[in-house]
Amino acid sequence: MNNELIERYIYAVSKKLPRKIRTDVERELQTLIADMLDERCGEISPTERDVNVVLAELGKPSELAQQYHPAGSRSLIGPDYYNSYVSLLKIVLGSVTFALLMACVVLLLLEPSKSPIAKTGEWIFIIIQTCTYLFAVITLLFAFFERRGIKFDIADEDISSLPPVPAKEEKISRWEPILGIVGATLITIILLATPQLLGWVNQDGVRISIFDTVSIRSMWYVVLALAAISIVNETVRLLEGQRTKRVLTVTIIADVLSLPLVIWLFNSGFKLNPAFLEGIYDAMGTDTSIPATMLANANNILLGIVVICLIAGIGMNIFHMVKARQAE
Amino acid sequence: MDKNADEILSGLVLELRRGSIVLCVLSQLGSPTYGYNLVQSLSEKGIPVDANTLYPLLRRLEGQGLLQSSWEVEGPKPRKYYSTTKMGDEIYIRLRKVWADTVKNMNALWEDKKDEQ
Repeated sequence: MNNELIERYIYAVSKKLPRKIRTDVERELQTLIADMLDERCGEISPTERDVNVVLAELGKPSELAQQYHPAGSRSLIGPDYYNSYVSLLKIVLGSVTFALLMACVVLLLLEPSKSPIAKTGEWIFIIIQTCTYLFAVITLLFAFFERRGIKFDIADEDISSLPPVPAKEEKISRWEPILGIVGATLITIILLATPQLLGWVNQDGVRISIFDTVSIRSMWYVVLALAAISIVNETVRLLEGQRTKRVLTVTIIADVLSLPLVIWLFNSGFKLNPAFLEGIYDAMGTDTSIPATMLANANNILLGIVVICLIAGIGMNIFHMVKARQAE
Repeated sequence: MDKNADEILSGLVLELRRGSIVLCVLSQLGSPTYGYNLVQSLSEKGIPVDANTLYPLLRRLEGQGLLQSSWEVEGPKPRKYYSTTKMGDEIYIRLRKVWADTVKNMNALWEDKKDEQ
């Protein structure tokens, strides 16, 4: 009898099994194959052909091993998550690629390079790299959800708690968050890669940027953190599709987190360029109606406007949340 | 067309069998039996089932607590004997009731159709 072939078959099955059931299944298969051969051959010693027929009857080792796995535990991202996974991938990769392409075109037009083809190649490389990275992060995130069985849609489990159909003003159009993601990516690229673009060229042909480019770049981690907060917030809005309590909560948290970061950024990195301020003085001449102190404090005024906008946003969202709670 | 119909039919038959095989297994395991013996006795009784389906199924039912098993090493070959647990017996009785009702109701469906014609 060809024992070796049987051993090889059993090994091929058992190596695909969870460790703790391997020995048990191996022993069981050994007896099963012996029984099947006995039935086939009776008293006569089985030939290699008999062994082949019996093993073929048991099927491919991988298929047999597959049968031993409990249903549903064999996929990285199962049917519960697949649709959300694919739509998130499409939107995030699509909008980031779009934003990077826009940045590429704008930069090539504004700052003609000596070798536009090489420059374009560099951008394509950046796009591929960024998309690969995002793909990996999103896939890992969903694989984690799958492993842990984390449910997005709690209402799905209990029909009576399904949310009401949103009124028209409650709905978030798909474009709103997509534009948000594109915008956040574009602003981040411009601030970090080419902050000098935010400015103009004066009569002497010198480019004067609004912000102090060196200090912005030195604060790259704060800029990236702000972009990440904004993209996560927009993604939640996109997935939810309506102004639910969860969306409001995430938006409030995002704004509250952004507030100290923005203040930090303005205090340490986001200085207006002195040359830019001088340019304004010159442009307006001496008989300006804008008080000089205002221009001198332009940095703080800008910070003030941003902070007021953020606080107003937080306040409005809290107001909506309280109103929604009262309506319940 | 015919080949396609045969394929669809065998797929449907497979699905029907898959659902009912648990009931067949539970019915036979009141006393301890080993896997291959079960394959043979079921096929003698007109319920053919492949060993590569039955063995993993026995293990799954054991995992769910419907079966218990023990190794018998006295004979010439070591064998794993399966039998129903108390919960397995209870589930068997309830599942059999569901089966009987389903068969009765389905028969009534065809009978109704016959009357209409």
